[in-house]
Amino acid sequence: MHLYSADYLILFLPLFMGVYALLPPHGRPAAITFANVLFLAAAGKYGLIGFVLSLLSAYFSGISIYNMRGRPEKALLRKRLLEANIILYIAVFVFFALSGTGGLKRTLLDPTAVYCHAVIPLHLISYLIDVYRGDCEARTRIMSFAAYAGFFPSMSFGPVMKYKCFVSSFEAPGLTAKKLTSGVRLYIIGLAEYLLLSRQLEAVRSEIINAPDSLRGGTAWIFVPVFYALFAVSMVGLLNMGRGTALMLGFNVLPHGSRDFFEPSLKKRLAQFNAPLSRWFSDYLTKPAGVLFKNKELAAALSVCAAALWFRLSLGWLVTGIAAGAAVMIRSFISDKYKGIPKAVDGLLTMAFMLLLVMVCAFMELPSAGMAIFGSTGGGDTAYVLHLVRECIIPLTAALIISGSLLPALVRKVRAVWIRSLIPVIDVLLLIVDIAFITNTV
Amino acid sequence: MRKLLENITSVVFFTLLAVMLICVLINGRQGFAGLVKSLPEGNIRSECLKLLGESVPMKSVQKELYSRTARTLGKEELFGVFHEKTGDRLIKITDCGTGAYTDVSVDAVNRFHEKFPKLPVYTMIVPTAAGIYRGRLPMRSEAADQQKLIDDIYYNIDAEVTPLDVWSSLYSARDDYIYFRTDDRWTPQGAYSAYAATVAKLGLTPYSLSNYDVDHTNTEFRGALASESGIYDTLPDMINVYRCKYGSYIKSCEVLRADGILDKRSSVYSKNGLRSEDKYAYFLGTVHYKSVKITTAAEEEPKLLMIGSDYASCFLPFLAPHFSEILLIDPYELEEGEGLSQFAEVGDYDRLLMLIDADSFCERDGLSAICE
Repeated sequence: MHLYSADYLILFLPLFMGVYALLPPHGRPAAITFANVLFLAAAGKYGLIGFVLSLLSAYFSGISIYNMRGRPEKALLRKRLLEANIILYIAVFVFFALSGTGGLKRTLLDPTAVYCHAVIPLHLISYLIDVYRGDCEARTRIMSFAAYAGFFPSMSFGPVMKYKCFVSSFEAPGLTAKKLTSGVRLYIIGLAEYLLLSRQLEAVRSEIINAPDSLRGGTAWIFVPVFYALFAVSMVGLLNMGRGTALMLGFNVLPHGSRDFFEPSLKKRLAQFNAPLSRWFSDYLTKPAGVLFKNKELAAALSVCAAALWFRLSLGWLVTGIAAGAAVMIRSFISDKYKGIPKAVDGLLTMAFMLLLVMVCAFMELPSAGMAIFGSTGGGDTAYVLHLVRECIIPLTAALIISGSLLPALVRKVRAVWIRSLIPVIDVLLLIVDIAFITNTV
Repeated sequence: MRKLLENITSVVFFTLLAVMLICVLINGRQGFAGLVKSLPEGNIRSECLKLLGESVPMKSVQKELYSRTARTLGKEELFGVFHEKTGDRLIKITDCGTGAYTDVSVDAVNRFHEKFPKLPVYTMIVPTAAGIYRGRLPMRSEAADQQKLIDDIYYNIDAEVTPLDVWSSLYSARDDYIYFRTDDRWTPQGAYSAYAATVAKLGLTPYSLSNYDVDHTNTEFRGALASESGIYDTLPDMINVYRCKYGSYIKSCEVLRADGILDKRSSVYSKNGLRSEDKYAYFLGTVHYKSVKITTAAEEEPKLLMIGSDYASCFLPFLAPHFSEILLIDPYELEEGEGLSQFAEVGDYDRLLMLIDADSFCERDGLSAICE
């Protein structure tokens, strides 16, 4: 069951929200935990077993780590316990990413895979590190801990939630009309982005990948923007659905941050793909690594590489991650060395780096297309290429606008009441179209 | 006012979902109850999703909305159906090149000929619209090259079985109304093209088009492909039939329907068929039949045994003037255990004609019944 599936929208959500709203605040973590278990069980029994084992390990380790604070003789044991748990959760992630056990193996942008066990380790690591650092106490109420660890709105691609930011929220989540409405609106938009745009682009991507070799030449060039747009809009759609659902449940998850197409910093540009994830990596990997290696740029490169592997644990994405890390370091070097670069040139330079990274990533996905480009760009069937262009031009353009900064900026600038009164109408129309899409792609 | 505008979305959202939930539970109550009582062997969630898909309210409206939106976004193929704009027709993309039953069907034909070596056997594999208009499909890499496929089938069939090639005649007439625009079957005009091109090989002299009166039923309809794809903005189809002015007339037409009911008439056409959902039932009164027996006034003419898919329904009237009796069997409608021998004494017939569309020949199991 996913946030965009028919059984979630039609069967689960209305019933769950009805019960959730009627429960007292202290009873709501139990409802969330029940939903988490349902999502995990729907994905497969091994995922559920993995979750329970990880959860129990984190629960008891957290209490031990908390109790051992301020005792110098226990400092080493405390550290080792933290490290052992982090290694355990990474191992669980790798296991599910590579084995495909219980249908949990991740494929590109299809969150039926490493579904749950990509985000659960991050939540548990966040919890243990926050307790270790003394940022918060260990959680003793297992129900609210389980609600946080396997928080179902985050299970696809996030938003990854740092434990210390949500300590009190998971004790007694409070529902408000404002959060509910914002959540509903965000969910509808996210669903539309995923179903209308991402799915269409995914169909084009599959068509290109499955096309015979004779058609590879011209289609290879189309693959690059399609791949980028698909990646970007899927991310935005899933994050909006996740954040929207979290808001509906009363959790004030920060927005992803504005996505600026002309952002000059490559680090920030890459971070925009999944802002909550980048905030997590910044806090728990980049800063400690920066202290360890005494080199911020190397630490940033390491985080970028780790994030790429989180998206997909494969050789292709390892290469992409290394390339991205190297690009971050080179870009920082250029910015430091040539401080007088005009902002426009700076932005263009970053865009060039982004284009290169996207091409590396795309051609890791489709090696034969990469070779076809160097072999013969005119190869292939013109009619077929035009057919692909017709199929992807509208969702591609819409995806780039949505994943860029144009649409959010336009929405923010709207002031007139009569225009704002159209927003609920658009929401409802989008919802009707979303339902039509969901029921016809069951 | 602002608060009201803000809250309308969430109110409408949950109201709409609640209504959908209630409708789904009411429409699918038996299915869901069955699911709860006896857990299926397979995946429970996929069974549940299937039930959900079948129980949603206003399914056809939702399908049409989905179809229009997807096409606005650039999607050209929906549910395996492509809207070919040049001819304003819907084409079902079939990949019968990887048909699971091609070899089985070829084997059935060969075994039949082995069993009845003295009976002249003729085979007509009719290409579907996806074959004739393959050049107009941008994703023609997915659609099978039916011309090559049919040639291969004829090559693999016993040399003593006479193949009837209709590809050239249909391809030449491709700009005419030879296939329905919203259905995956051919029209009487397409059937006539095939008849005119091949009937000489059956030892008959074809009647030219001027020997026919065209009967316009004036009934517009949209076929199966329209409801499958949710595309309703093509031109509608029309059923026109060809009535031979000369030659023998039909004395009786007995149709044994798939539900076991025997329908006796004096014409191969049925006006009741135009009132049914599938207007193709105008031919023979039904689209699901096990056998059709036609007797004509030409008692000296030979008898024909036909094995055919639904494409045979509108071809049959063109053969009627040439034979005293035609028995048409649809092997794909026979039940398990039923065979040709239960419906026909093969030795009573002078010729056998197999008229099957490429899709059915390659993708459907059933032709083996002719050997039983």
